[in-house]
Amino acid sequence: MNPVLRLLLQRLAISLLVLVGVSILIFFVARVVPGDPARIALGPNASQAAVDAMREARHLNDPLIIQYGWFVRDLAQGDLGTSLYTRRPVTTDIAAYLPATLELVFVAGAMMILLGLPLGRLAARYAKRGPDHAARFAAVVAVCTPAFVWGVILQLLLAYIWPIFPLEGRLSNGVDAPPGITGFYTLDSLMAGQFATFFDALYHLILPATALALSGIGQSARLTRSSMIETYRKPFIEMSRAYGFREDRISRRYAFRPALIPTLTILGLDFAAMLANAFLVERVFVWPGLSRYGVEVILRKDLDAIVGVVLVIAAMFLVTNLIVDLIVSIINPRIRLAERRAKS
Amino acid sequence: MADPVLKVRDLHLAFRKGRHTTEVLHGVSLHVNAGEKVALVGESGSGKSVTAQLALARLQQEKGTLVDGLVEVVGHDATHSPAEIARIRGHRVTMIFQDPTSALNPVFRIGEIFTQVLRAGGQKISEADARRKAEQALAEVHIPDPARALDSYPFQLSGGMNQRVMIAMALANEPELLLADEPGTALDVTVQAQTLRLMDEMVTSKGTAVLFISHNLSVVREFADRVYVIYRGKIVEHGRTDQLFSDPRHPYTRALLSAAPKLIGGGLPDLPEHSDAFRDPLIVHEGCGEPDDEVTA
Repeated sequence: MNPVLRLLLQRLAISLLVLVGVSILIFFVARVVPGDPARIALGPNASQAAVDAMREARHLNDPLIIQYGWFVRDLAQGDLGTSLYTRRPVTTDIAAYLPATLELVFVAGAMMILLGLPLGRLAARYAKRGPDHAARFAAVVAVCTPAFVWGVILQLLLAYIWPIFPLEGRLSNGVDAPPGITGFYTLDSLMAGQFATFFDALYHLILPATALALSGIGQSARLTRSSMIETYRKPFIEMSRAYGFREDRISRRYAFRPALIPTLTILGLDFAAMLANAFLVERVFVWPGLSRYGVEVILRKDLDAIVGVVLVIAAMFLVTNLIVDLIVSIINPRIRLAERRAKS
Repeated sequence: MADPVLKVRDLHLAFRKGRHTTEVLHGVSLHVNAGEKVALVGESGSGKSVTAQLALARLQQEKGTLVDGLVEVVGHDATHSPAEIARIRGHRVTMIFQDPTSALNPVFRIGEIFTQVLRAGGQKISEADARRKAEQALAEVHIPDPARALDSYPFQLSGGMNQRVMIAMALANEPELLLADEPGTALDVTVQAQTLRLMDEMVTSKGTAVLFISHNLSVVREFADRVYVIYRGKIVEHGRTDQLFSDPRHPYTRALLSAAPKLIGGGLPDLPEHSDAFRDPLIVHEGCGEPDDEVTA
């Protein structure tokens, strides 16, 4: 079997196991935490009879093991239960809120890669000189400041004092959401040919995505820099120089690609962590995303919704890791060709 | 006589870190004539590798490097205009390293690296021509399936094969001078011997001059026309290989020769780490002066 495919299948199997583990953990933790979800959902004024009826309907009186059995049966049919708070199926809620978060996280992730990696590469190339000091200082400031603080600072500077960008939301007032295909307003509006909506959506994305991305940009710049500097000391770079390879080609290609292998794995985790980080940024920018939904359902002890949200976020982590593994195995021929070597 | 392809005159090198300065070379002079094979022999830390790096102008621009004296590589001044050397690196002067496998980039195919080598110094050569030339060069070093080797990554080839690739790369552009810094020390002894013999044949047939840096006297004896012995940043003895081996005059050279393991009467020789006699002045064998001295003498 192709080594890359085999690696992916292995990782996929492990991912599924992790997902099962996470589901068990969150299912029981959510139920062990004190508080009666039915009482919270119905409010203090509801009659005890109504609360009891809801507990019975939701199987909340059954032993935990039996409850988990119900949960697994429903999950097998693609049903994550019903939210006590929105009174809609959890899958519907997630489908409604997830795209907003993903759009934000994808744009932030793209910024992290497209700005962080080149910044780190340049810092390494001019190590211990002006550009390096500037980049390192900026990176440390970016990493040390939490995303929601960046959110408030950016809002203050670029939406309030100099009102260049919109303060909050995904679209301006009066702009209709594009027809929902992916749930990404930018993609949907492009596909529908609504360019004005596209630019409006993009315009709204910039500040929250930047706030979310800044620490990731700093982190990826720092990682790339240190990995590049280590690679620069390798004999094969000395060889490239002894053979007159152009310095910028070494920096862009012959030192960059080997340096990327250890960096990418960590960046994948950083990227996935943005999903969780997003909830504070979503709060600051009144962004109708999954993270906000997640916080609200946790506060309301909305059992099915909590499990659903956690499962989706865990799945995103695993998918990201899977993609990173795939990219690393493409860059690193040792993984890609592991089998061929064993044969010859 | 034509100008030597490498001329080093009274070379001093020191590294400064903070207020501390360490002198590494104290007035080294040596030369390599066109087509000549010259060895520079000494223990680790004696300054042999930095000499090669200075010849490639790889140290001059580093912070805290103090260089004084003359290094001339195929007519270019490496001490004062290292940028000129940068332009001739890879085609007029090339280098072979200790460990071929780590000297080849692990994430690129050998073919791509070879193409870059053939483009050293801004030479224009198409992808297809480079490929053809590389295959030919690999065939010359007796690599059985050159096309397959070019499509391989260094980790897929053995150390000996990689060394052959390195030799092919070093000579592909027909350089005037090859710097061999302990070539193949990382390989096992038989493979090292094979690849050294191959390198010897190749440079002899192409008429490439070699500065061979080594601590291994038996290898030097087979390979070199002339030998410089270096000790703690100073040349202590200089002579033709036959002169030096039949009549070692400097105490350090004698110590070095006695340190070579012998087949009979084993055991490690008892060698002093340092002796004042090692600091004796330079001994030059008959007919082996530096080019400029011969004029004045």
